[in-house]
Amino acid sequence: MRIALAQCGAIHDLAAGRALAAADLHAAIAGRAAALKAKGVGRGATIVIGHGGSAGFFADLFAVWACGATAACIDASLTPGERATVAAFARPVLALVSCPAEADGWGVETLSLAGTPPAADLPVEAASHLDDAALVLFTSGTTGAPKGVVLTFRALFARIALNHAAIGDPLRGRTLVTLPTHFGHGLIGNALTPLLAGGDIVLAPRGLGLAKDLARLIDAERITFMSSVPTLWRMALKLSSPPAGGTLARVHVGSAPLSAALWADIAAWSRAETVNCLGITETANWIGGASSRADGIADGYVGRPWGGSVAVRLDDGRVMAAGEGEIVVQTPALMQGYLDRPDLTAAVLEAGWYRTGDQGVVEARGVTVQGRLKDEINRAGFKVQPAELDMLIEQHADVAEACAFAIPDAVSGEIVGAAVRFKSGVSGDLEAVRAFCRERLRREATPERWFAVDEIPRTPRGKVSREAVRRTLLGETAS
Amino acid sequence: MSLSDAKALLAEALQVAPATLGDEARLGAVEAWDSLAHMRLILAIEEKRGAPLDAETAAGIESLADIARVLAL
Repeated sequence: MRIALAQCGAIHDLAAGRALAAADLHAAIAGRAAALKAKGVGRGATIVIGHGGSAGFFADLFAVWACGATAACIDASLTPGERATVAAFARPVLALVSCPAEADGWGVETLSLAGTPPAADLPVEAASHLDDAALVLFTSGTTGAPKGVVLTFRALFARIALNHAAIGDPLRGRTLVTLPTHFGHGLIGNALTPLLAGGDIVLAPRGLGLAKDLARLIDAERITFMSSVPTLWRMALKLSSPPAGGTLARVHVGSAPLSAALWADIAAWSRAETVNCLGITETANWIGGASSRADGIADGYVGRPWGGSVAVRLDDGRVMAAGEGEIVVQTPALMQGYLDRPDLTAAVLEAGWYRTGDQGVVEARGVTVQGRLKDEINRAGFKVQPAELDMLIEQHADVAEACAFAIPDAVSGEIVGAAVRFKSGVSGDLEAVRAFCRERLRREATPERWFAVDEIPRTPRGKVSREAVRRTLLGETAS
Repeated sequence: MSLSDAKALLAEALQVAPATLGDEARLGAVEAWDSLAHMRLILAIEEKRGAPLDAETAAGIESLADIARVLAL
């Protein structure tokens, strides 16, 4: 697929100490696309990109698309076992990596395109179609049954065009990328949206260093726009004085619930229009957002949609234009479906609506999210599926039963807890079970708090309830 | 405030046993001491001191010795 790269901005890769102007990026993409074509990559092929957050990542991504192929952007911190699970499901023909540590587990040829000579022209365009798959983003299942969101070029272009219309000028300056590029918020919202609007993107090292250095970076790099998760702000507001340069015009916050208090603190610190966004990978990221200036600040308020429609689904299945229930959306940026999982796709697409799994209120002023209906743990914006963890923990020879659950946390929003019932006659060793998980699972999804229990707490009707488990083990009272 | 008090606070924030932490423990050198655990530590120090840390002091905490020093302020 030919992307309008002539209008795209430059990529400033702070960790690598290099900047790639639009012309250099174009030449790098052309060279890499020629190398991929020489390997037989074309329409219908899936290419894993097993690294991210660098100028080289974007050159690889656009090169894959220039060949008409599909890019599966994967978290570089997956364990080799998780990579093997994803590869068996996605069936890539090639995995692009940036270092040997990222190469284990793919089971196909791995390749670094870092040293590929630039070229003048892109290869002759493959006969790709707008409705071909552009991206596969895996949201869960790396230890069991992977769940890969398939987004077409049409969905991507629609989302990016809608984002340009909603955000405007701040995108055409310099955007700070604070998020990883293997999930929708970081890749589509934070990076591709400004880059394809003609703005520059600045790739910064993430984590604590970013939080400590945030104001200095904003001033030194003359940042006009950034997106983020609430956890970054819980750290930065504590560790960094406000920026003084006055360049920052707009801040997006998403991927996890944002309290009105934190929202107001971010707006005061940044002195920028601060937007609480509703975004889902299945809708190519942002559906809409509420502005601290134009809409006002309130718990869970995410404003009106940027294109498409929002409604509520009542318990009896009726979809209403306004009211309280499960939030459902129609958007031109909707996924094609979950890769090779028509059962999962059918469960979330109903009569033309995508069921978000969020409970909330839809009214004339927009959407207010009240909570999640899905059984999901949100650790600093990264979603962890507890049922998947249960199954992994129960693979340990000493474990009879396990139940993963969310624990409220002042920094991450939620962290992952696990209750373990050991088999009778076994002197349970929680540290051994933790190590078993850690060998098979990336760190961010591994439970942080472990509890050995004689019985998994159940509801009065005998059903395992993660909420009941949490209440019992943390000594909370029912709300 | 002793080093062992500081170690107990750090162990709680990192969700590890105090015995697994050496006296030379530093941010970046202990696997569990990631950015999120570090912020839990900052909040725990503030709770222990009964007052918030200013940005410069909070940003300067990088080792077990730093924790003991800030707790003694």
